[in-house]
Amino acid sequence: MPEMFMPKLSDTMEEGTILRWIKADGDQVAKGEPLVEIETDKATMTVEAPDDGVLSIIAEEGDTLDVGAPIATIGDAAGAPTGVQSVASPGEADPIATDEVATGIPTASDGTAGTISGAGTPAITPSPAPMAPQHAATSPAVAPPATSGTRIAASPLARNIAAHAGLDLSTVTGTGPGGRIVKRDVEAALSGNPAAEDVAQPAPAAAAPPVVAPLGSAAPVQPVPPKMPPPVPRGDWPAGRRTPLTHLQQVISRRMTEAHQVPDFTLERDVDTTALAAARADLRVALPEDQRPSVNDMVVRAVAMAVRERPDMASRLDGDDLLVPDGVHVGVAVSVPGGLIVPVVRDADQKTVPQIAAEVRDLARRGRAGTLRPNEMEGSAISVTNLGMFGIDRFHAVINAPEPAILAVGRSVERPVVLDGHVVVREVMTLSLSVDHRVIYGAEAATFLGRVAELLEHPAALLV
Amino acid sequence: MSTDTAKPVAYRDALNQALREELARDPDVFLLGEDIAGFDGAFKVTRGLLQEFGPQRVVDTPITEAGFTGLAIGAAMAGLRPVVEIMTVNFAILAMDQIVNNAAKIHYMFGGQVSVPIVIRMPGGGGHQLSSQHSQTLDAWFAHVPGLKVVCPSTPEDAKGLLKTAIRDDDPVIFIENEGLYGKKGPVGGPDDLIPFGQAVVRRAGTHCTVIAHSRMVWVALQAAEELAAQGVEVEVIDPRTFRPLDLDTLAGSVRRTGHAVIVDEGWPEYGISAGLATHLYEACFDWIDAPIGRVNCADVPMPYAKNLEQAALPQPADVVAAVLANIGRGIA
Repeated sequence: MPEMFMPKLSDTMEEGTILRWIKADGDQVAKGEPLVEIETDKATMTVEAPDDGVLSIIAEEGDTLDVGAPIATIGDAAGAPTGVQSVASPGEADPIATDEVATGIPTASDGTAGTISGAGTPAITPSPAPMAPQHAATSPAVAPPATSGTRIAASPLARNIAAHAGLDLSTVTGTGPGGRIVKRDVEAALSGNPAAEDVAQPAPAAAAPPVVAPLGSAAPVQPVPPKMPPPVPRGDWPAGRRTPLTHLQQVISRRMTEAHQVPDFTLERDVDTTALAAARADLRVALPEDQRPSVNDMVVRAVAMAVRERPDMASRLDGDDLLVPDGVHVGVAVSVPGGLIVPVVRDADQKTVPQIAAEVRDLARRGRAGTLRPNEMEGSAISVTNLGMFGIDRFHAVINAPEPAILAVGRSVERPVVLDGHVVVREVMTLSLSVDHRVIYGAEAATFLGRVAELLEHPAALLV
Repeated sequence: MSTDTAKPVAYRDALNQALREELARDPDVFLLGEDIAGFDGAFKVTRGLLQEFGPQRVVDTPITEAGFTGLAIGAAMAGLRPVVEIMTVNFAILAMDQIVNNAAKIHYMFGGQVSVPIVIRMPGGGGHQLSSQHSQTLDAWFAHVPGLKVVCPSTPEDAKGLLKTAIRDDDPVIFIENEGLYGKKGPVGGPDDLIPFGQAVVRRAGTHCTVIAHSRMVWVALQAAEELAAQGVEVEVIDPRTFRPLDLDTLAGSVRRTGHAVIVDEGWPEYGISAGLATHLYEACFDWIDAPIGRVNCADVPMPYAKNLEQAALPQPADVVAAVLANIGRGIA
């Protein structure tokens, strides 16, 4: 039975997550058909069926497995094997094996490639044909196409440059022999321009011309110094430890830069949370532990209710249109190792506080485990972010574009408050609402924030 | 430098100058080989030396390669500096036991007490319709053996300067000339211009691909470089000149800059000079190469006699052009 294993999709990949099976268990699949989406540390990639047959899924969606772990088998309808070779075995997915394939040297597990027969056969060099077999190995006619989802054919130089630049080779199109990714492709990907088909690019300026001894000159040539600089110039950066951005960090970087283009303003308001604290204490008596709401869960509920009442607060700019999304989906910022994600409580206005509490717990746990699916992090109309647990009193958050607003929640803490002419001690929390001023104006934002504060100061309203 | 160094000298005459100058400089130097004295040598490299230095120092031998090579090794052990001419590399096969088991081993096996300062000259290469047995390129046979130095000059200047260095070297030197180069003319150095071993030379600078070639193949590579330049491709042609010792730094430095290498070798492809160089370069340049190292070799067959087949079997400039274009990812124009 040909087995499929968790492929090594990048140099740094140690494990991968089955994001989505495009084909269902028991489906008849054809070789080359998109089969499964796998998320790595850097990207989500689609892996194709390595053979014709009936798919039998081993690894479920959401499973995170080590490279080389079995994820499926492909057999015929009766369950018998259809191929003679295991496919996408760990060894085959190894980058070195990939290179071997690219250079036309068959490996033990290459049976499925099929197109390389004869490439390893020694032959006369140079043949009467203009190309000797040694170089024929680099010609497109001989090398197998590098299209299989588990293989990335790339030259060592291309791999080196990509690794230094933190570039995911799966995003690069190879224009070398047999589709191999070569230096020009990586450079093109880094510069954003397509690779020039016609090569013979001048070498980097750093390559000093060597000293040449014309034939017959008396002096032997100065040898080129053996110590070469790294292939990617680094400029004048200080020495230090260098780590390529993860895919997540690249996305955050891009999104934050985009969000910074939004003309925004921020409103602040203190909320008396004395009653909210009492309500939470009461709910502890009524609810199992995994449904007991945090202050933040109550805020999510309050925001959802307020948006339902004033849907325009969720309207966003789309070209020359304003779009008010259907459904009140609230994003909740969650800190994860090496970044930040915003899973979404869908239809939060339709959910009770205990339901929201349980859902946010589950989303946060799976977010930190890296097993959230993309659709669980999409579609929020407005977001809530909270640094109260870190002792922060107040802060202004960056809008999670294209959403129009984000509510930043500070800690709830006892403060002296003037109440009816007396200074009293109350629990107080500061909310900061940042909005996209292209879409939302001051009075609207203030009214909205006031409503959120009102709901939080009357927590029984959150429980209806 | 004397005045006559300015005028072009044929490769065979450059060798002749080196022999004459070293015979005159050091009385321990003597020559021996088949037909080198009365007949001036099969390729006229020793022309006039019998008349100038006499039969004690320019010695005709019987057709006994193993015998006179062994005799010369013994003379070298005893303190003389013999320069052996073997008519072609194809006949050195008869002397391989002496070369491999004695010349290459004695210094090592006697703990350095004895040296073997011998030079064994011989031409290799094909292209003259001498068929399978007399057209071979066996550089790799000697380069395979620790204890030997292996020198393959491509120009008159190198032929002279490297031969003088070989004669003055205290270790056994295999000095491989090429039958197709004896008439090649060029400038040469003077009596004191020695060319050290282990220094490759850049014959032509370029940025797109490194082409490594030695002996006659340097000229094939340079012609290919001209044709490639007309297509906008600038290759860097490097001549290693000696394989033991090998100037890997220069070769690897170039390959790291260009990211591409093609090795042109008149020898056979299997387990030969090109294979050995390619291994060195893969090890030294793995993270710098952008394509598998290309090789252009003699066809993996005994050399055909028929002229058209012989030409097809030997590396030609067009083969180098095709190999370079394939290596850098350009089609053949």
